[in-house]
Formats: sequence, structure tokens, C-alpha cells
Amino acid sequence: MIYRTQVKIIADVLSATNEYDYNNVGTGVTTIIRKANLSHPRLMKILSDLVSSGLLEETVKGKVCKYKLSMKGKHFLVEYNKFHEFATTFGLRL
Amino acid sequence: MVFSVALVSYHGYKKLESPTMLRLTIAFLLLGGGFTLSGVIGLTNLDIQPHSSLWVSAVVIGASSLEAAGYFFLAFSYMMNARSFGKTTIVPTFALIAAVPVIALKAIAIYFLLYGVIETLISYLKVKKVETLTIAVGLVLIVSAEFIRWISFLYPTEATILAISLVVRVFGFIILFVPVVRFISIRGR
Repeated sequence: MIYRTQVKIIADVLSATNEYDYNNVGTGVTTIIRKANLSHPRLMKILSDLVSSGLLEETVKGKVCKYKLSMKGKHFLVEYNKFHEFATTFGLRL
Repeated sequence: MVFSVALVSYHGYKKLESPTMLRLTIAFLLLGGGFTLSGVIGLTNLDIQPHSSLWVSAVVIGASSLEAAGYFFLAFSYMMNARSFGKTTIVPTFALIAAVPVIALKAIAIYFLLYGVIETLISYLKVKKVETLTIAVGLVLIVSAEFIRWISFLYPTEATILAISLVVRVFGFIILFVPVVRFISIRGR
């Protein structure tokens, strides 16, 4: 079994949000839960942290809450991919 | 060269707040500090700096301590990495009693380095990346350089052995520079 680090979990949440945001309207919580493989309470805590740190943008339409990757979030993902490569070369994981 | 790995790792830590990057930064900063001090000792041996045996001993111990601490942080990164794979790690235990602190520190450094080599090779078997194998080769060269330096303790008059050790070590660190070159090339794209 491989345990994910906090950075990897954040990267998974951000890439799931980015990947499944088809019409630039945001990604729903259920999709992120499935794609990032997290429980609902844990994801909600992470999403709230990511929104407050400016990596995600929250849009609420009626009862539906969706999440979009902000510019800061996109930049984080790009940097994550670069440093992931760097760490892998050393045989390490971020 | 060693400091450039620390710099890239520090950028990674600043951008992602990744503990792995922080450990790599500390490891390579300490190693860089150790090698800088070793360089100062080299200059002292060439009589470029004023020679003082007490001063030289202090610097030698300082350099060895920094190197051992650097290798510890490198090994610690691999230990944490192995832990995340759910593996039980062989936590380095010490059974080294040496009268000379420098030799004890060198022995500890080799112990950590060997651990790093084994973990890098295990990682290579998992990810099958040529760059990871290159890092393992680099670490093997650094370990070999340390062993050659140990041989030089037996033959203190043979300067060639020490020179070979230095050359092997420099090659090892040049190889560790590969990820930085790769990182810069990715960044440039």
C-alpha cells in the first residue's frame, strides 16, 4: 500500500478539479471525491483550505457548489509536476 | 554544484511546502558546507593558508560533522519515502565506537550513504527511470571515494590515493548535478 503525502493529495484534488472542468463552470464535489479518491469529510476540509489559500475558486449556484482552479492553482500544478520529476530522479516522492 | 541542488530543492519547498524538498535542501546545504570546509583544509595542506594544527583539526571535525549531517538528512529523506510505501525501514543504528571523532563521523556518513544507494536502487526498480539509476551511480561513486580515502589513512605518504579519492568524489557530485540540469531544461520549455 502506498500512502500519499499531503502535497500529493492536494495535487490530486487540483488536477481532478482541472481535468473534469469541461465547460469552465467548475467541477462538482462528487467528481472530485471519485477522482481524488478521498472521503467526503476529508475532501471538504481540503477544499475549504484550498479555497482560503486561493488555489481554488468556489462558485455556488442555488444548492450546487462547484470548484474551479484559480491561476494560482494552475501555477501550483505546473510547479508540482516539475518538482515531482526532480524528486523522482532522486528516487524520492513529493 | 552541491549548492545548486539545494537551491532547486529550496525553490520546491517554497513553492509546494513539501517536506521532501526541505530535507533535500538541508542535506545539500550541509554537504555543500562540508565540502567548502574540506576545500579550506585542502588549501591549508598546500600551505596557502597559515598552518595551525589545532585549527586544521577543528575544521576537519567541522567538515566531517557537516558531511555526516548532510548524508543523514539524505538518508532520512529515503527513510520517510520508504515509510510512505508502508515498508518497515531498517532505522540506522550505530554500533561504532571510535577513538577518533573524524573516523567515527566518516563511518556514519558511509552508513547513511549506503542506505541512500540501496533506497535509490529500490526506487529505480520501481520507476525504471535512467536518471534515478544515474543518481544511484553518483552515490556509489561518493561511497567509493570515501572508501578510497580510508585506504589513504593506511598509506598517509601516498598522495595519489587521496587524489584518486577526490577525483572519484567530484565525478559523483557531477552526476548528482544531473537532476538540476534536467530541471532547468524542463523549466526552460
